[in-house]
Amino acid sequence: MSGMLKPSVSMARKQVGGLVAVFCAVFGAAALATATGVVAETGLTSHLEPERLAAADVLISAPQRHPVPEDLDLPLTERVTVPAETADEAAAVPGVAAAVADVSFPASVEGADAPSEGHSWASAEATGADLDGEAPTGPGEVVAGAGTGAETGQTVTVATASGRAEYTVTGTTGGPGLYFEADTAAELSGLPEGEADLIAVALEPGSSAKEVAADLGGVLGGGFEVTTGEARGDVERIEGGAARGELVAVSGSLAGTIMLLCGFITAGALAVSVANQRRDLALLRAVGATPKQVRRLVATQATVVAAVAVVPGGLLGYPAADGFARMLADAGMLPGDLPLARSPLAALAAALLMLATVQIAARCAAWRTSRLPATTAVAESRTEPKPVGRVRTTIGLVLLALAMGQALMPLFLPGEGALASAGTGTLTAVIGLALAGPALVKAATALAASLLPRRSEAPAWLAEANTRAYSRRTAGAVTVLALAIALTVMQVYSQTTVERAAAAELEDGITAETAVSAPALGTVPAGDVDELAALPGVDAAVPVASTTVIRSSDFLDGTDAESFQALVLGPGAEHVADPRVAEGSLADLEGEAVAVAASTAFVWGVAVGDEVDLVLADGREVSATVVATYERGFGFGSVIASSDLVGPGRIDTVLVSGDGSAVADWAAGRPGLEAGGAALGAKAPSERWINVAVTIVLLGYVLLGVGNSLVAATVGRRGEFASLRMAGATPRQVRAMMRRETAILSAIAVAAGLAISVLPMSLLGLGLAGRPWPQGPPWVVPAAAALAVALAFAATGAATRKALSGSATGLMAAV
Amino acid sequence: MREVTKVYDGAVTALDRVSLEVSRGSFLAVMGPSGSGKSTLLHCAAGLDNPTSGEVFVGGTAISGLSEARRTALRRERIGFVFQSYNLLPSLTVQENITLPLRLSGNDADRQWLDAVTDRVGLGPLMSRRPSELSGGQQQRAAIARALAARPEVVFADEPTGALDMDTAAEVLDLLRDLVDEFSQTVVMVTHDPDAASRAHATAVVADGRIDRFHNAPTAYELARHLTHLRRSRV
Repeated sequence: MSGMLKPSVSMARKQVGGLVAVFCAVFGAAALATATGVVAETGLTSHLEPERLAAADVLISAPQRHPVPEDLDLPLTERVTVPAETADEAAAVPGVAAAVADVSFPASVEGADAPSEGHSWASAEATGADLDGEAPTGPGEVVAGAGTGAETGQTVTVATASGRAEYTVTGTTGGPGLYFEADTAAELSGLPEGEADLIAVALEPGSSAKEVAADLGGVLGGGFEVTTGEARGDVERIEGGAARGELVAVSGSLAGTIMLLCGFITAGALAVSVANQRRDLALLRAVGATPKQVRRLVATQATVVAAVAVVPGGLLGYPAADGFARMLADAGMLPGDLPLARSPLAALAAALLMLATVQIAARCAAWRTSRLPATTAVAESRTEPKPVGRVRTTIGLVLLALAMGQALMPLFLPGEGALASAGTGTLTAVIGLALAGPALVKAATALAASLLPRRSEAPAWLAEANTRAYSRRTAGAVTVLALAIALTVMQVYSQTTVERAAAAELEDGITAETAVSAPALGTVPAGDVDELAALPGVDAAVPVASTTVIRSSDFLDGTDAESFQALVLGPGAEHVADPRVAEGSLADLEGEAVAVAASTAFVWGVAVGDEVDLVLADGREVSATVVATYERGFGFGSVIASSDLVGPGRIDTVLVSGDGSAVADWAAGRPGLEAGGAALGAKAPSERWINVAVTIVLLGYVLLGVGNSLVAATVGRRGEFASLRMAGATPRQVRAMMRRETAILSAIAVAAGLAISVLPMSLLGLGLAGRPWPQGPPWVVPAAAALAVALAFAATGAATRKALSGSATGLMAAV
Repeated sequence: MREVTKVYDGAVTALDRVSLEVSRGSFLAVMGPSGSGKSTLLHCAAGLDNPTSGEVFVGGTAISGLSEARRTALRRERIGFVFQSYNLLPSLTVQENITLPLRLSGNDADRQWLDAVTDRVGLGPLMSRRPSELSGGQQQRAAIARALAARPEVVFADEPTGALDMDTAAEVLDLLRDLVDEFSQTVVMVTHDPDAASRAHATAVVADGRIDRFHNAPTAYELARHLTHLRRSRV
């Protein structure tokens, strides 16, 4: 490589334009890749700080994961319990001062601003909690923590999942939440007898947490996790672990898109750079360089530039990751206090990845030029390589046809499959367009030229001749512009179409008149549900909660497990919800029963009457009978589980059918409850904004790439401009020619970009929402097109002006 | 051109008070060692560059001191160019390249004149080809036809044979000479090749930004000797 370094660097100096494009592309890609890496690393290694149990040196818990062979474990979103008696075994281990079973459950003081959690005072005491007053000793007593607003001696009403009851505050403490006497806490938690969330262990002074933890692990055996140090935060608050799982998943799905785009845009910038150097490379071939040496030279050149670009890019990646994490935290998807992992690993991995990408992309970009016979290479140096491969065009057309087929799928496929098919259809089309581009551009130019107002002025005429003669160069610009437009339209509309479909399904599918929720309590007390049901004028009151279920399936020769969103409905679901039952009946949703969305049932290969094995969110393995299948899978989720199957627990909402005003009057007398129009919160709107934000960042990068290649391509045409100026063209005429060329390629790009995105999205709209146009804000289409076109004009215009500056002789000399 | 001086970057004097007149229908060669200022002379004379001081006239019109746009307009009507690297536009056919200056100025082509010119340069069957499909000599002949398309007062040729082999170069020089003789076209050619210069009516030898000597109908040998002498005296 060192042999090629000097010539490649000195050649690089001569054609800065193309390499600036490579620099920008690699810079942006390195920043994005580093940010993704930081997010991924945070997901894999970062921990929440332990808070309430910070004084417990060791925590014993059950694994909060469902193992998946040969893949990442699936996080369980609700607490997996341990036998409370484990505490006794742990207490016998040398070095342990105390081991206490700990539980957490929704428990809020009526009238408090925010919901809080209840715990056992025993675990707080054992882990050194302060106490101002007396400890609770019986069923009616409680110690109030910070944020509950209660004071010693006061009598407060506490709402829990089971109901409401009065307690005397015997003391206050600095920790968060409410603290009950151990037996009361166990009862209120709703856990089966003898179960606890975790065991908190306090050590004797002088003993080492690591050593005791090792001993505990040995004594307790498998099935338990013994945690010390920082990682205890994740055991105390399982949402930390869940959020980390989410981070890994988010970064995983982002990484694919980002790498694809980075490869695409870096390769594009390199292609322009190679095209601008074609003459030099041809000369090198003529003086005896082998094709391999030419490729190595181009690769070295690109690698040197990339090596310079990854440094600032990687550095920018860290603040970018901060911004992304803040966004996730604002959206409630990430606990705000989860520290980001800021090791140099992310930047290093991004750098290696980018260098590898650039090496490969550079060799590919130089492949054709390097392989031409030396004489042809020189002859070709002033024009484009002539024949556009027929194979290339054919593959491109086949891909476009395939994309069309994928776009049509939503009409036949239900649910998620439709979405996936429509999305990948657009990507297939973009690749097809890139391949078949030059051939199509020739045809399209003729068409576009005939559609645009006919003018015989020299600039227009030149522009048309150029667009046709340089169909490959034009196709490159058209493809990137079309990609930018298509990606935006697809990202936004696939999101909004699904949301609209889900919202519409929920709107039509909830037949209850009223919904009662308890934002200030954290759960609707079960006692309230019973009272509601007994209210005169009320036909049915059905508790609703959301959860996740995992289903394992034998896939080829291994086991695959997938997590599904599930709705938990109490008895009487058929009176409040109509998920458009296809088979069976919701009335049967009692006992160990589930209803499954028809599209999911199809994938699972189950029908009404079959048994399905599921893993609940707290790790319990259950077997349930499928009692119904339904069609409104976007609104109601993949699975509806009976509340009997899941067991008592948090209640998010109660759907009530019957006299709405009676319900409202009743709820007004129940502190913490809110009665409103019957609706279930569809997916959190915050999640949509994350998608939009990510789309905007990616679009920004795509546009950077587009601007890049347009500028570089224009700068590479100085020779042509010089010739034109010599032939008597005024700078104004050259600019007019470039504007006309930009207009032609913009017209083609907008048409192509919209064709490959609006069409599939319209079909998706028809398939999911029954309306044959993209479901979402209509301004997205003109906005995306206008942005791309404005960028094309700005980039080309600025580069042309720059290239034309100075006198005609200066232009000549610079060529 | 009268008393023309060109100073680059306020320091390098490329032309030092040069005066030169080319009469209509004559063929003048400009020679000189590298760096003598012969290219600058051509650029100033052709209105590609504005002289620092002095005046340049083409057919009685002053072109020095005009704006770039005005000079361009004047250039494409009154001046034709031929370059060493042909400077044909690869996206246009030979025919389109030849008529390009006319299209750019928005003037109608004088069909008769164009036919005469294209006939004379002998590219008849190649008119619909693109430059990349032509040999170097053919490309240069197309460039000459383009330079003539607007019936300019004068054609400036900058090393027109520099990229051609001897035989092809001779053909191109014959063509230039014939244009002068047959069409009374004025041609100014910059070259470093005494053989090429000997085909002109007269040769101006430039050295150190001044016209060192003016040869009338010199032989290639005379010119070569003069140049060699200049080179020696500079060392």
